[in-house]
Amino acid sequence: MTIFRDKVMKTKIEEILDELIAEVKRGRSVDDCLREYPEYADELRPLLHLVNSIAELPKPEPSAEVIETVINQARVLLSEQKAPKGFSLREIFALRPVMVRVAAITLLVFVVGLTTVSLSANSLPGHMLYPIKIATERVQLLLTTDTKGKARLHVVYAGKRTDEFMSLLTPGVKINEDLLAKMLHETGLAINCAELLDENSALEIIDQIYECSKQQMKVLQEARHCACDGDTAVIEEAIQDCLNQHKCIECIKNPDASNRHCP
Amino acid sequence: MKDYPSLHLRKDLEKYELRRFVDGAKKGDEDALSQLCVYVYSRIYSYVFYRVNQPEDAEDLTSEVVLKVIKALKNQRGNFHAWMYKIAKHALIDFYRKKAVRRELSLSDLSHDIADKSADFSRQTLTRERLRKGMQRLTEEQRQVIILRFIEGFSNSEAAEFMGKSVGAIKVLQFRALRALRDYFSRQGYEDKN
Repeated sequence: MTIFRDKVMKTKIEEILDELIAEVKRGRSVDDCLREYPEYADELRPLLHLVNSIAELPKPEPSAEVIETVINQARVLLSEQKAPKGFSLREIFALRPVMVRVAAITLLVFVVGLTTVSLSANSLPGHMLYPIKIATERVQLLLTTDTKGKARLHVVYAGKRTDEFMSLLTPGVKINEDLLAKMLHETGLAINCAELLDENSALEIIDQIYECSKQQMKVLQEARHCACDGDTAVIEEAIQDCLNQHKCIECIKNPDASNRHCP
Repeated sequence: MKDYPSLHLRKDLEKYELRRFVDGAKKGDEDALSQLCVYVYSRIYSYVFYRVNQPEDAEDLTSEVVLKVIKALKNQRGNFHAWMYKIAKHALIDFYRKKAVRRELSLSDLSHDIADKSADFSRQTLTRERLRKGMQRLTEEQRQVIILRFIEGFSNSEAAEFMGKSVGAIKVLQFRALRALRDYFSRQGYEDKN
């Protein structure tokens, strides 16, 4: 109990001292302030006088020469900081650890992305990387703005689908109808693009489309020989489509041949 | 400081002026840099003056702190005073460590004390030198409170912010520091002039 009372009293005297210091700073005399707390007057009077004495002491004054020297040194320091430095990645990263993380993540994403795209280039339908291959092709198409470039890309993709179809072709095994449709669809898209081009540009691209279509016809004829019974009708239909595309190509190559019918 | 009249700023203008100097110095304005150097120098000099043995040490240490402040100025955020005193505090710790000043002081003061009783303190007035000697008897935190509160004139809350303590803790430290000083001066035969 006594200890508790002492502690409360101690806290009180510290609070009172602080309050009286503030009063003295405002200009009240020490004796006037202490009249409010006569029970602490003996203890606090010398402390308040000491506060006054300390506050009245002249401030320690450094020499002007020393300050001048420091100012000059500071100017040199500042000019050194302002001077352009060589490009130092280490310094930039030391200052900004967030940049290190962002750069590392970007690099990681770039490397992983590049590797995945490279690996997916030779993938076949059904493989886990095949959708990435198709997505990459879609992005390439989206990024290509001119019609001639799009036509070229469709020819390339038609060639790729043909190769994929050929790779998956196995005697007695059902053909991939979806892939077959895509193969012919890419050729069709290439022809559509070629039709939009001027005569010279169209002639330039149409030979590539024709070569691709010829290759597709060869593959389809091979497929006809080794196809199982259920696939015959699909292949015959695909051959017919391929022949129609040939006719369209002929129309683009010889626009004046009015006797030809373009399907 | 007579040579640098711009130092004597009114308290209410001080923060605004200081912010202007800090921002200017960060942008490379030489005039602002000079003003800031003078301001920081005078503040830190008072801060270290009573905590080292020799005025020359105070000047060297203050110069070192000012240059550290200028060097690190670009990365300064938040309360400038708190940041500045933190740099000064670390510089003081380094200083004590390097020179083992505290040990030197305790040995040298034994001989000084004998002389003080008969000579210096006979004048019965508080001088900077006497206060410096009295301060050596205080703890590091008590010294810091005396300097911030009564020499630099900061409020309790400002001192609390600079020292990373509560206002209540500052009041306790201030009471104990003053009482320890009073006891020391009483033993030395000094009576307050008031």
